[in-house]
Formats: sequence, C-alpha cells, structure tokens
Amino acid sequence: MVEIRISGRGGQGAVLASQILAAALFENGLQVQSFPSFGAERRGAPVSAFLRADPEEITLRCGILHADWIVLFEPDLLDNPMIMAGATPSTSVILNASRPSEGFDRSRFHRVFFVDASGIAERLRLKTTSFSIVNTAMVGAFACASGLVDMESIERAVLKLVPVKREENARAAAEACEQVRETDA
Amino acid sequence: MQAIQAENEQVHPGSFSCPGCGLTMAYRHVLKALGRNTVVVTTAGCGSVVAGYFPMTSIKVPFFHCSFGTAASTASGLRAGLDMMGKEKTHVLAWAGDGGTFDIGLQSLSGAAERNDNVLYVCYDNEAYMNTGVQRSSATPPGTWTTTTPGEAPEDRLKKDIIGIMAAHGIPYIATACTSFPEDLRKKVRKARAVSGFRFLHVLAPCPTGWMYPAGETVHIGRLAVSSRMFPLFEILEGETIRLSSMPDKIPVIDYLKAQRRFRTLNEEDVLRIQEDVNRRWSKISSAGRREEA
Amino acid sequence: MKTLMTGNEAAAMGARMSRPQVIAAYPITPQTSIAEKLADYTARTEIEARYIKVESETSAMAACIGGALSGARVFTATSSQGLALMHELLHWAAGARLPVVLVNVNRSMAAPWSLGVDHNDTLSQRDTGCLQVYCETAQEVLDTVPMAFALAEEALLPTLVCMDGFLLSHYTEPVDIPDQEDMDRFLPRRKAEYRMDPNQPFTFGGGVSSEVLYGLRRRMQQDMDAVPTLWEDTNRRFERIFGRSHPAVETHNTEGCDLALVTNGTMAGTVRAYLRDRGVEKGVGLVKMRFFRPFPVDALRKALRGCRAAVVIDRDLSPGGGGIFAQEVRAALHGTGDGVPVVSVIGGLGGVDVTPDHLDRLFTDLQGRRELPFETLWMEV
Repeated sequence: MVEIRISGRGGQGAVLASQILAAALFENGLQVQSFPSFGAERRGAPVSAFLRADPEEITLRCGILHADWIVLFEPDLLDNPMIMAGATPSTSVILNASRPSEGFDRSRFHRVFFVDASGIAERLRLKTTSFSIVNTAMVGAFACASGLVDMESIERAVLKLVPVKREENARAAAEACEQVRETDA
Repeated sequence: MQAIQAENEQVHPGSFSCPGCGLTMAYRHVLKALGRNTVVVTTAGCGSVVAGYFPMTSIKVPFFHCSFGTAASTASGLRAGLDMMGKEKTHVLAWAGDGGTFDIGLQSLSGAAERNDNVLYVCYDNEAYMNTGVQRSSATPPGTWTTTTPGEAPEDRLKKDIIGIMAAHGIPYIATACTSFPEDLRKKVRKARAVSGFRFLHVLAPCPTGWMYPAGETVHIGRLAVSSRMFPLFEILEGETIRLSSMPDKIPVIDYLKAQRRFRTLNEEDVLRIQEDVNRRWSKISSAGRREEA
Repeated sequence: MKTLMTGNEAAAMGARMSRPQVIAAYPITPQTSIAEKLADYTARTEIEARYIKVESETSAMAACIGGALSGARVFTATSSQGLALMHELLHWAAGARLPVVLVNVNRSMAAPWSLGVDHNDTLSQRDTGCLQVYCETAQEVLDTVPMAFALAEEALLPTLVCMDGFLLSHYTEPVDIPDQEDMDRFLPRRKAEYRMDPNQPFTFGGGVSSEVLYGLRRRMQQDMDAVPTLWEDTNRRFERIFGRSHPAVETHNTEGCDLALVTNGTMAGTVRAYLRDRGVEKGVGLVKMRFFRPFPVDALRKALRGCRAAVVIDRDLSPGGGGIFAQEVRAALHGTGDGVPVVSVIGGLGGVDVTPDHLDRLFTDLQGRRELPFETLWMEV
C-alpha cells in the first residue's frame, strides 16, 4: 500500500489534486481511498489531502500517519509541524520550487524532487484571484517522479475532473512531468 | 473620515476567518462600541468558528458558543441571571448569522423580542449558510447561486423582511448597518446601547468566499450594496418611526450584481425584476422615513 | 458501473435510486454534501421530488411526517445536533408507524462543539422505535438506503441509516452503481395503506386511552421482532439482483477464535485491515454489527459461539453507564449458558483515530491477562 499526503493552502486545490490522482490510479486497476483533512478550514489555512492506493481492497479507516510521499504546493509548508507530522527518512517529497532553499535538510527524506509548478501555472495563466493554480502541475510531477501512474491516465482524469481550463491544466501536468527533477542523494 | 484608533479594542488581532471576511470587521466595531462590560452569546455559524477553536479565542470579553437557533433565548437567560446578580449594567450581545436568525433562530428571536428582554441582538448577514459551505437561507436574495440553489434553479424567493418582522414586535430600536460604513455601525451600536429592552441590528457582512468576488473588495462590495439600495441604511424607533441614515447617491442595481459571481446566471429580465423590487422597497422606506440630521 | 464516490455522494445516489417524492433537509456538517447533491438532482429533475428547504431539522422531520402521511416516499438526512432536534419527532414518526428513511452522518454531540465521529447521536435515539443500521463502506451506504426503504415500508417503522462522519462521508472510494431498472424491480413505488386522502378520510394520531397505548406498544415490539426475518428476505432479494449481501451481523474468522472483536461502522474496516495484517494469526475475529435496533440477539449469539471472549469496542459512551453496544451485547448473551465473557472498550470518541496499532496493543494486553476485566477500558489516544 502506498500512502500519499498532498498539502497546500485552502483554496489551492489540494483536494482536487488528490481526486485527480485517485481517479488516475483507479483507472489503472488499483483500489484507492482519498480524503481531505478535517475541520472547518478557511481560505489560506494549510490544508492536506490524503490518498491510499493498493492492489487489494483498502478497508483501513484512519488518518495517514507515515506517508510514503508528501507533495507540497508551497515549500514553506516544510516548516509546518502539522503538515509534516509523521514524515520519516523513508518519506519522499515533491516540492513546488525550482531549487532547494538555503538550509534545506536533504537528510530528512528518502527521495527529494523539485518542480517549478508556480512558473508553469504562471505561463499557462492558471490562477484565481488569490492563488496560482499549481495543483495539476504537482499531480503531473508526482506521477513522473513516483512512476506510480502513467501520464495518459493523469490527462484523462484532469480532463474529466477539472471544472475550467481543462486543456491548460492537462498541459500543466504534462510540463511538470517533464520538468520535475530529483536532487542528488 | 476619522482614523479608527486602536484603543478600546475588545478583540485580539487575528481570527479563523477567510481573507476579506466581512463579519470579523463587524464584530470588531460592534464590540468596540459596546465596550468592556459586555458578554457575548453566539450560535453555530461562521461567527462561532472564526472566533476561534479551543484553546484559542479572538474575543477579549466573555463569549459563549450556544446551540444553533438559541442565541436569543440563551441571551435572555444570561440577561436574567446577570440582573439577579446585580450586573444590570453589563451588556448582553446575541450575535448570530442570517441562518441562525431568519431561519432556525426565528422562534427564539421572536420570543425574546415579544418579551422585550434587555438584549442587543446583532445579526451578521452574509446571505447564506456560509459555515457549512454556502447553502441558501431565507436571507438569500433572488437570483443567487448557492449549493442548494444551483445553476439550473437559482434562489427564487425574495429576501425575508426581517426588519418588518422585528418592527411588528414593537421593540424600542432597530437598525440596518453595513461593515463598509463602520462609523455608522458604531454610532448605531452606541444608540442601541443607550436604550433598554430588545434591540435588533441587521448588519450586512459581505463574504468573498460565498459571494465570489476578490477578497480585497469587501468594503467596496458593501458600499455598492448600500448605494444600490439593495441594502439601505435606516433605523426604526419603537417599531414605527423610520429614520434614514446618510448614504451615498443611488446607483443602478446592476452595478452591484455584476461585481459578484454568485449572480452570474441572472439575465436582463431577472435584473429588471430585482431593480423593480429594490425600487419598491426603497420608495416605501424613503417616503415613510425622515432623513437623519447630519 | 464502477466509479469513485464519497460516502455522502453514495447516500445521495442511494436516495436518488429509491425515487423519493418528498425530501426535506437542512444543512449540517458533515451531512451537507448530501443535502447539496439532492438539491442538484432535484433541480435537474434527475429526482422527481419536492425538495423543501426547511428552516431547521425539527421542521425537516415534521415535513417528512406530513409527506409520509400523504402516502409519498420521503427522505431526509442529518447529523448529531440536527438529529437531536428531531428527537421528539422520531418518537412521533415511529408511533405513527411511518416509513421515513433518514441517513444520519454520525458526529459527536456538543457541548463542546466537535466535528469528529462518534455514535452518541444515533444511539441516543435508541428508544424511539426507529430501526437503526450502521454502514462501513460507501457501497454499503448506497445499497442500504433502498434496502431501508424496502424494510421500512414493510415493517412500517422509520429507519436510520447511519454512516460515520468524515471517515465515511468524506472518504472517496470505489462504488458500483447499480442499474436503475434493477433498482425499480427491487424497490417498487410505495403503496401506503393508510394515508390522508379525501376519498378515504381517516383521522391520525388522536389521543388514546392507556389500554390502547399499551396495545400499540406491544404491537410495535411484535413488529420489531419480525424485522430480522424481514431483513433476511430483503437481503436475499437484494443479493439475487445485485450480487451483494448485507446481513444484520457479519463475521470474519470467528470460528473458535480467541477474541472476537464486536464493533460497528468504519471501525469494522480498520479491524478488517488489522485481521489481514496480524490479527488472524493472533486468534482475533471480527463481528460486525449492522443492526442496533432491533438488536440482533439470535445472530449475535450464533456469531460468538465458540469464542473465548468478546471485546466490544464502542465508539460511544452512555455517561454513567458505559459503552452502549457492550451493554446490549451483555444483555443479549445473558442466560445463554455459553458464558462468553464480554470486555467493554471505549475508543474513537470525537473522531479520535483508532489504528491497527491501537488494536494490536489492546489485544496484546488482553491476551496477556489471566482474568478479563469487567470494568470498562478506554483506548489510549
């Protein structure tokens, strides 16, 4: 079973990202379970969405304590203890940034990936009044970094679930897939 | 405009609200005008959640989260108890949203008003059940998109005339106010504070999340609501005498509607009907009302 | 058709497939998306119903009672505080023998405000005369709603279909949506024998003498006693058409097991995962309770036969009494001569996470004891 945590700020579409990923994995014949973090969130507050995938039926019903993958829409969420709860040295992360920041501690994680999802969103003019829409780019980056799901399934899921600018969002996912880079061990 | 000084603040900076939240501005000014000797009862809704989750609170004065629909009756009980303990001068504020006032709270509101219990009831009106994710209430204006009045069937009922209902109870003081006019709001709270009995304030509190406009435009949207006379500002004394507050010049209602995506499904005919309704209501109030002295 | 859905979407779909004619609902977290989805379906006439956007839950149930009296099929959904506001009217609907179906998304009761799941809201309705069924998965929710209508309209008692807040309502998982044609075969239109019809006027609900009331309650109990068989029939019919079975009590690995864990709702899923992982080797079995009212005494006794002990995990608490399922299990086993001891454990109140590790620690503790405790144990957070 793979356990994934996707975190951003309320309004950035972390939940939609988890649904897109869930749909793509499900299409590939995996059993999936996805859910948002709970509570009365408000726009701008840190928010997480969770996802389990397994060849067998998933009957477990509790939070994800030790995620195998953590996807962050904003790198400063690395410093948020609630968002990073349960991360271990076997956790891999994907960060929305073009390069590691000063003082980034590589040893905390197993594999580390970077992608400039904000840049991609900017170029494709994917934004709301408050945020750049990086969720679809991050989904694409995850697919190619983890190798868990192919881009065709991702594209189909994006086209099906995204409410507006479907083509641009599909393109964002594809570009992020190409641009995502792993840091050295 | 006088600069608002950061003294006599009864709230801490920060809350759990969305950026641009109208109701947080409202409670700041209401509590500022009421002062330290105040206790607050609030019912389920954004007003309860934004004030804070345990162990945090944004409010400096005593604050109680009561069950849904019971703001007025809880406040009545609190008032009675405080009076019995010699604290008649402590202000009791019931603070509820449109759902908790117009709908599920209407019975207890009517009860407290009919008894003329010495309570100030302030309804912050964001025109839907926002805390549970934007469902219609009887305060939702016609033509509005909400999750229970979706695209194919937007809200089709007129906004419930809560002021008319409260006026029928003959209570000493009623006023409408808007977070975009904080001085007017504070002035009305001070007037309400000086009177005894059941006092009702209806405060329009624009909500960027549910009304769908950019978060930085809350004050502007409120001003449009008042200028268009969708939400005129006035007072009613003893349930009968209407006094109009000073307001910007009247503008067409389309200017207000087109600034919010919750009205995006309106066509020309709908807008015309809304303008007619606004005109009708405004002419009723303005002909019966006297302008306040500057 | 296999698709991904949340528990709430499954509830709305189950309701839709049951062809309700009157829906009265009021929003409350975490039920809200059910009310929204139904509004959506009704607006697009994918459900042909009158949707009354009531101003409170009390009115929601009152409207359901009125709707049911007209002979129409009625549906509502709520949670915790909202269900509490319906309490008087649940007694009413049951006493009036009206087949209202209500989906309750379980959430802990205030004060203080809490959005997490526990079962005090529905279990507090224990004595109203309503039937109560608990679901573990979104598939079960979708299936149970039409099954509940079939049962309710036969037994003439309101039915609460219970589903865990957030852990089921907001989890997206695979669901198979049946064909509407098959569903119409399984659940035809409601045919109310008694209704408010000027062509055949009756007076309903008037005051009665003590003797009449006594007789009516006795009759209600008799009809409750018939429910287990009614459910078996309904379940058999459902399984024949849709290939899925939802018995009142479900067992896993209980044949001669050491400790049988008895629980309801999504916790059964976590137990299932634990069994698959470690539990089976440790001699642990699962008894999943679907029905709470009527309490499935015979099925439970059968399920626990041969087990060394039963461990009831209650995601609820009757303060001053203990776990509510535990009390009912103990009462059901009393006098059977099998002497299966019952351990009572409280866990998960307020939505506190219960994980396989918690279960493992619990079983390791219990299996290590010489004597099983009578007093109630509380799971560590």
